[in-house]
Amino acid sequence: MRFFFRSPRFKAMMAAIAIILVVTIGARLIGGWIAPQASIAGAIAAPFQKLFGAISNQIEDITTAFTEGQQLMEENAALEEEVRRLTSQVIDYQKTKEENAFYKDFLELKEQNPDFQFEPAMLISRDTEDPFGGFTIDKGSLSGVAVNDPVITADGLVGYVSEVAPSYSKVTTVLDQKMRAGAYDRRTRDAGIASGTIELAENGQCRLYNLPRSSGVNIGDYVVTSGGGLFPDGLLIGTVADVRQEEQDISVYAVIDPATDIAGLRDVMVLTYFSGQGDPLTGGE
Amino acid sequence: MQRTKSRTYLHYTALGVLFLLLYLIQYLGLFPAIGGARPLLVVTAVISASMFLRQWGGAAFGCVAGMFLDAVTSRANCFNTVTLLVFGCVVGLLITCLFNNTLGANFLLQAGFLFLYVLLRWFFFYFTAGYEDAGYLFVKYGLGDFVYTLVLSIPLYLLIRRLMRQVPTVA
Repeated sequence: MRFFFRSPRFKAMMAAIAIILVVTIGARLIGGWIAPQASIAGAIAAPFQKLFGAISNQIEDITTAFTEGQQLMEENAALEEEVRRLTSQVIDYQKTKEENAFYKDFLELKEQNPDFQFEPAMLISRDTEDPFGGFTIDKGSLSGVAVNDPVITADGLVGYVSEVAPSYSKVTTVLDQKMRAGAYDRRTRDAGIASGTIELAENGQCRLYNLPRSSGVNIGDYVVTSGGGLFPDGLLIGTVADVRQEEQDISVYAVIDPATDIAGLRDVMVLTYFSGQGDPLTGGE
Repeated sequence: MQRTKSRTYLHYTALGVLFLLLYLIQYLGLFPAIGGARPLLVVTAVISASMFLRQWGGAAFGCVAGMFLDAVTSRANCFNTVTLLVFGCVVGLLITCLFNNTLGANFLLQAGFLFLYVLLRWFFFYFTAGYEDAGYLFVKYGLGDFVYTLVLSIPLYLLIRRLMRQVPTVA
């Protein structure tokens, strides 16, 4: 045993550990970069993950079609599209009830959407050890993806890019406690912070906290991002499922059902640029 | 001699393929979760394989396995790389100097190192990161993963032993 600790191989192993630690710390200090050794391993594993992920999705589709029938799948897809359309109409209806000046500003912001730059991405693996539903996508810095870029679907906000490598990135979801986005109730304009907790994450939910006790937030209200930093204004986060009293103080918080099904995600969009994109004020690490 | 060498490479290749399969099974979520707990198939494979590969082979195998885990784990940095490298080396040393390579020794080593792994993971990923309800996270996800993985470690060890049966003992 004594000779083991004096052997050249042991010294070489300790040197390798020291190098790995130094390189990794250096990568983190640069800002969100994945350590080179993990980046290399990820680049090797990513094609296999994509292949097996595609096979897994295909098998799931075949089994579902076999058990429930192709007709049911088509009806379900049509109903989901109808729900999306109706949700959009309800949001527009709420907007028309407010003052003209606010709606003009809002419409102007909506008209600025053409400046959004999107990068489509596919989910290639999930961090099964992460109870908050974090996952990996198949686009990285080579595709223009950067740390803190918002990740969305047609339904709404999914999360943000927390780590980036040349060919893949890791996403932190809206269910995560580290995700903190400025947000407000679309109907009452009550502002708060959208984030997650472990108890809510287990149910696939997050919360809007720091609401005043006098808040008029109701079940069914839409919660959207308030902009001004990490996320653009007006991204749908979800709908209010419940309103509860905080345990430590007199404020209240709203439990949110996210607009996107985090557990069932396959394809997402990364918002690589939007007008007003700036430093993270509330979201991200 | 040539035949032994080619058989050795064949078994190491089989071990590599097994690792890749376990890695993909774990991170595509193909193994069912029980009460939120998921098995740490790659970690238990490293511990079992290190009992045959001994300290240097175990360290190398743990290092490579850890690099692949760090590639998909959020906030991992080099946690898995360093942890599994050290685990592989220490398990190999313990088998060389202290234990016989038996199912009982495997169960004992799995229990010790798996618990240490979930404890370190919880400490670095959640406790020091300031997550609320860190204790709840440890009990439900840490201990849950530990028990689930420990149960699966027995058939996995038997499978790896079958693969490595004819590989000469590495000094």
